[in-house]
Amino acid sequence: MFANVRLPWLLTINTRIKNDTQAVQKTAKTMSKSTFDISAALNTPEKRKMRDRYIAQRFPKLAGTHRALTKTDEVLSMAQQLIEEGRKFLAIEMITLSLQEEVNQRDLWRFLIEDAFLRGDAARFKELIDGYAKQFELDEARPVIQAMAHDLSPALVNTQSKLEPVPLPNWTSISVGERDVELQQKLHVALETAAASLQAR
Amino acid sequence: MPTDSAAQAGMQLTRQHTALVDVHDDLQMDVSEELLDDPNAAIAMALLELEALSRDNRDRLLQGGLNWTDGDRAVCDWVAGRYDHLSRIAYSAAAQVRKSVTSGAESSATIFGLTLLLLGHAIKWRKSAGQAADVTLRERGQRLYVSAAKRNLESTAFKVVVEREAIETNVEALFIRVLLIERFSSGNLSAKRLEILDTWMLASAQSTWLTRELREGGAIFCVDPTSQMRPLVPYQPGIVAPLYLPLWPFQRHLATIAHAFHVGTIYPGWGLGLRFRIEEHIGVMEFLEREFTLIEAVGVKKSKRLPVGGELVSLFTGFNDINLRALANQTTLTVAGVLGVSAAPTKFAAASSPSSPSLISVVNANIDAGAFTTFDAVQGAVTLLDVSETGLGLEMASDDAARIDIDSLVAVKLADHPACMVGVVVRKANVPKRSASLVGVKLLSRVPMRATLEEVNDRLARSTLQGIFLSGGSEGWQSDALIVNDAAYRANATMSVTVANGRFHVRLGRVLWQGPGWKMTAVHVSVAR
Repeated sequence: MFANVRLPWLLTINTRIKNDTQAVQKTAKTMSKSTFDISAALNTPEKRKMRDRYIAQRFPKLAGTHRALTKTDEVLSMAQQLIEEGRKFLAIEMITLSLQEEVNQRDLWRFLIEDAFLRGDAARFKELIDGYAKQFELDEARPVIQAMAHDLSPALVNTQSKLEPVPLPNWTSISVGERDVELQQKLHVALETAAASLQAR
Repeated sequence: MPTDSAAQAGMQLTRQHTALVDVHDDLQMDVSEELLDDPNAAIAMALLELEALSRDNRDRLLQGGLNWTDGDRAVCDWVAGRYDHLSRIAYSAAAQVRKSVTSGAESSATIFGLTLLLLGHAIKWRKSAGQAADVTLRERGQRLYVSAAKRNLESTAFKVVVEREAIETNVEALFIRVLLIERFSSGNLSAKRLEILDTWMLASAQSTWLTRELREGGAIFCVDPTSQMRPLVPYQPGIVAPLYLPLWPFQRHLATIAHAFHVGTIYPGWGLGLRFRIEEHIGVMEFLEREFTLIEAVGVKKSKRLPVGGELVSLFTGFNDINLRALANQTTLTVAGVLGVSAAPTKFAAASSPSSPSLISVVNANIDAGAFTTFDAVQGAVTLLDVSETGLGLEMASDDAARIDIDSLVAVKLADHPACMVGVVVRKANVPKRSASLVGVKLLSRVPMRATLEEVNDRLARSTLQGIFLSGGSEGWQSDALIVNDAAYRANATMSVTVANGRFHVRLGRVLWQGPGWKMTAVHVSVAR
């Protein structure tokens, strides 16, 4: 009978302990704590090296990764390019990596908050606004965020009073460096004017 | 010459291989004669034994990549053959369970699941060994899933051991894995990357499920477990399928996979992929992102095409021809209509009057543009077949169509449209039984505007550049673009241009699209007055 046949190399299979599995389980716990606070999980030089290799391969344009990821304007500019290329997932990941390097980048938080709002992802939105409130206690964007939260899901806002709708803050429309939104909009209006003129003939 | 110890190790391995084949033969006999008390345990053990014996070889083969010897190929064939054989034995055991009415739910689900797991392994290793795909493997998986679904076992959770890791899964997740592995095996994913993707799928069984109701949004597959030809197809509007596989949960799971790399670990922390270079894992992420985008694009509702009864239109091809002739009267300098000053009727407008609805022929268009040169690319009549929100369908002589390439820039003048439109040829097809071709044009702009840009520098003689502005319309300033001649394109040069009543200094940004002789670029404004 088959049941009586056992091959000798099987004896060791179930006794092995896999360090990597434990590390990932630990990662899962860390994730639930915060996506951006990874200092505890990144506790060995090997892991740091692995993270750096990953960033260098995934974002080859980010030369000198640590410093580049803390330059908010450059990160947003690159994110804008990625979004225009239809690679939003990558843009969001880069912004997440940037916040892991330097959590005090207000514009990046706001970008992610508005993105979660636009996608209608209430769970992610809640996670982000909680983290944002913790990071920036007194912030002028608070009423806007509350209005967005109320619009997304009234249960997210702890208030009885009725919130007035506010215009979308456009935190995901990036104004950086050479692509100044105001100047670009002026050109856009001029092009629309000329086009309307041609059509009106 | 091999050393004595190497020769002994080789002989021992051969003995182990032979012993394993014997074990499988015994198992097959026991299953066929229904002698096993617990077929689940026997097959699970056989899988463990096969994995344990072949692990080093599989690892070495996948690491080896293109440097395989004949011996390596033979070993890979052996591994693929073993998984195939074992999956057949498991399928026989599952067939007995299908007939039995006394088997418990978890026990039945486990044998179905083990068989599906082995079928997935067999499909994957056939691909790795360079063998032709065997659709009967997938068809067996389909039969098993249908059988499990009839017994309401598809979601029953059980544990299987894969690469020494116990994972909780169910029949549905393993069936989805069989379908996806078959799909990805037929593409250009390397064996190494297929292995990584497979491990991700097995480790994220909770992120894949089938639904009976369609919820549009994101990438979705239609699943028909009874279809022999196409059990898994990307969702398209109008298709009704028995089941749907939404991919958004797996897309979201990609963030978890990425997070593992962010904290310096390799997801999921087990499997042969642990030893692969980080580039391979990133390659799989990028592959999936592309796949999701492609599948989603199939599902985006195409704008409705309205037949227009075959009116004649004018067609211009090539940047210079379009810029000089088609858009002769469409420049960025015109603001008359908007400012309330009635513009004099243009030749195009006169030609498109109701009295001559279809007179805009190639010849007329040339006259309108102030040019009497012969029209090189398209010499015969061009007929408009249909119009949609985003494109046009044209019919022309096959000889003419042969002169236009895919990605060619074209301008089309319709009889009842005040402006000449600009688009790109995206498809061509011959009309059966006629010497005509259908040409699909994706519209870039309904009101393109030619402009002369002047280089801004300290020199006395400033060079100029001809361009065609495309307004982003309702999509906003992010979609504004400029088309320039391929040869004249210079990145980062600052140019001055007048648009309507404004003067702008602009730089040409990234190339957004390009074709023969033209480039479409983003526009960066640095000064606006």
